[in-house]
Amino acid sequence: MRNNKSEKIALTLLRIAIGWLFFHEGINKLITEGWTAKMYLLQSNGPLQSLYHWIVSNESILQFTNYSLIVALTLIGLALIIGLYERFFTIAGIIILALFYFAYPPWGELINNHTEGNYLLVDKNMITACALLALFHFNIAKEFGLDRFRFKPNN
Amino acid sequence: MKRRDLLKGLAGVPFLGAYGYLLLDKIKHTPDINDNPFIHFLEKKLPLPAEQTPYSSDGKKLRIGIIGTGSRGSYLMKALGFLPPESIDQMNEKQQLLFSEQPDLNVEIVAICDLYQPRAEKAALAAANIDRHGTLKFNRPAVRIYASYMQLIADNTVDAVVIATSDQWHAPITIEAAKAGKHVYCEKALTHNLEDVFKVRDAVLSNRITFQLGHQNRQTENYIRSKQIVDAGLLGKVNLVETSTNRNSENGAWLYNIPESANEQNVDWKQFLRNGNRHFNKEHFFRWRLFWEYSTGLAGDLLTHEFDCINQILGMGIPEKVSASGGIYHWKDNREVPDVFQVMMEYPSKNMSLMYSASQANSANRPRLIMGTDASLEIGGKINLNVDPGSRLYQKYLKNNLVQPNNAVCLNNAESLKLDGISSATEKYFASRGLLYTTHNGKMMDTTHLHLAEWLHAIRTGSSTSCNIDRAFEEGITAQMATLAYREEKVKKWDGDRVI
Ligand SMILES: NC(=O)c1ccc[n+]([C@@H]2O[C@H](COP(=O)([O-])OP(=O)(O)OC[C@H]3O[C@@H](n4cnc5c(N)ncnc54)[C@H](O)[C@@H]3O)[C@@H](O)[C@H]2O)c1
Repeated sequence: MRNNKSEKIALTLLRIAIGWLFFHEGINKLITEGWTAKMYLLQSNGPLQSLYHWIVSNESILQFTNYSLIVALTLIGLALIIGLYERFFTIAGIIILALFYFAYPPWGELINNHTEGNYLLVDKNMITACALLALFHFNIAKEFGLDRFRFKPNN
Repeated sequence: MKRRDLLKGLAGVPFLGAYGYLLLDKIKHTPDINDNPFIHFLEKKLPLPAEQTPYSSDGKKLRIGIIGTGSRGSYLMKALGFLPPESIDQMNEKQQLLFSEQPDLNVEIVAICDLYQPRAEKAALAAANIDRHGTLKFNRPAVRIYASYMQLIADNTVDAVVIATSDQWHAPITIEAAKAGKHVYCEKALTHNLEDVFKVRDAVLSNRITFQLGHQNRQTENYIRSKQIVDAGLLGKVNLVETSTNRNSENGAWLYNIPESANEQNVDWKQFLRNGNRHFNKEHFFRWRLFWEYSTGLAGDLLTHEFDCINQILGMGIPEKVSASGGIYHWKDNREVPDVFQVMMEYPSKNMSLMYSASQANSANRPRLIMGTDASLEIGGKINLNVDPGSRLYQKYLKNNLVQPNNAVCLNNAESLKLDGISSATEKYFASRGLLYTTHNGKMMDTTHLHLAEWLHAIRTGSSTSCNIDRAFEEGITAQMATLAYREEKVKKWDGDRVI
């Protein structure tokens, strides 16, 4: 890894910013009364549609999914902000983003394409996932993050 | 441990603190929506949107005949689950998936009738395509084609008919079918002339058939919700309603394609003419909407949609007085019907006016607007309530700044607003106009499919349809009053029994 300090700070900021995004998505769902992924899953139109419809078809599986999503988003967010188990949580983040990406893949030809932006193939989910991939490889938390204490013997 | 190490390792922690601080601050300063008495008031008045009961298709397979398989007839067949194999080939994967997911209505299409032979043949193949196959796998024989609707109706194996002919034939066919005891789904407009409106009603009622008029807006969640809002009194006294049609294209002005290969051999021109014996005219056959002999122009074609939609929400019925104006202001072709058209419908005993305004040479987006003494409701893709500054109902909330006057409060089905992934796909769910797709218990559905499903359900269970003969009668009389008002340049009145 290169040893330029401002590059490292920039990478750390990137990690914290993405963590913040996840953390807030998790917390926000947690404190929104009655939040459920039901509609989001029902309307999904990508290759994972049948999986998502199956989830909705059963109330307890849906509840479990809601709960897991909140926990996952919050934990990933927290870990990325403080830089703990960075490699594990960047991959977890990428997986979640992929699940979002394939729920509404920006591949054109949608019937009611009233999304808040215009995307073709690449959308914000994908860009965030790419950034996480980069972070996975740089593993900056080893230096700027709690991972530092896991790797450096405490002397 | 060195201090430097410690600081580096804890680099992210202050951000966590900052987040916590900001969040708490935000929570403290966001007025709790549940504490806003205005919202409480709305919630108390407005019932939760009801779960729509799915229309059941259990029981015996119903056998359907389709009369008129032009563009709408084909669409209705698709909504029933039947497409020609070539059309399935032409669909992309997503469209195929959507179509294959459309619920099975447990019907069979046993007979077809159309006056243009290639259309009849194509439809007969579609009807045979019960497996929803493409050309590669399709190998069933086409279903029966009848040369006239009389023969189709006389067929004992037909339980019910779908009528999607040009307007001049809706009434005669409905009446004949009713007499034979066949259930009818008839496209709008109900009829082509005034007398027929009464005759159709008599035939449907005296033969006790299940009737549905083709106003699929009846299935649209937004309109069902709008009715709840009006019924809850959230608008105060409604005194003015504005609704419109705007389109600006050849297609929107009904200049439909005339097939080269159509000729007197493959078009049954004699049957197409209901009266008289005019010479074969392709333009008249394929662009019948432009001529009074087969159509009533904007009144029957597009005013009817708007009228029925408002009638669904307000239930105001037939206007007591109708005046109309307009002209052929843009499409200087052979057409006889106006392309700019205004209709004023007066309801003195209900203290309200309904105004319809249409242009086929401009495509501005004008949402429907229902105006009451306390608020206006704007119905487009979203349902927006605008509290009126002069309202008495909302006076105290206005005074305490709990609601901003003329600042839209969105009242769509609450569930459909609670949509969220991670920073994407929030607004996707709102179709801008309610005629094509709607959410039905949270799933995107074709409204025409639902409208047909409701009719079939009613046939099977004896329940009523949402656009039954009473609603259809109101549509029919109103459209005829508008047409007569325009053509005679007179104010037309409804005295409760007849038009004068
Ligand atoms: N509900 C809706 O949203 C909606 C949309 C489009 C059209 N429509 C209605 O559907 C109807 C058909 O419209 P279209 O655009 O399909 O027209 P079209 O010209 O494409 O098709 C009409 C067909 O009816 C056939 N026909 C006419 N008279 C007949 C008869 N006596 N017997 C058998 N077949 C006959 C013709 O051969 C023609 O193929 C109209 O009444 C129209 O108002 C409703």
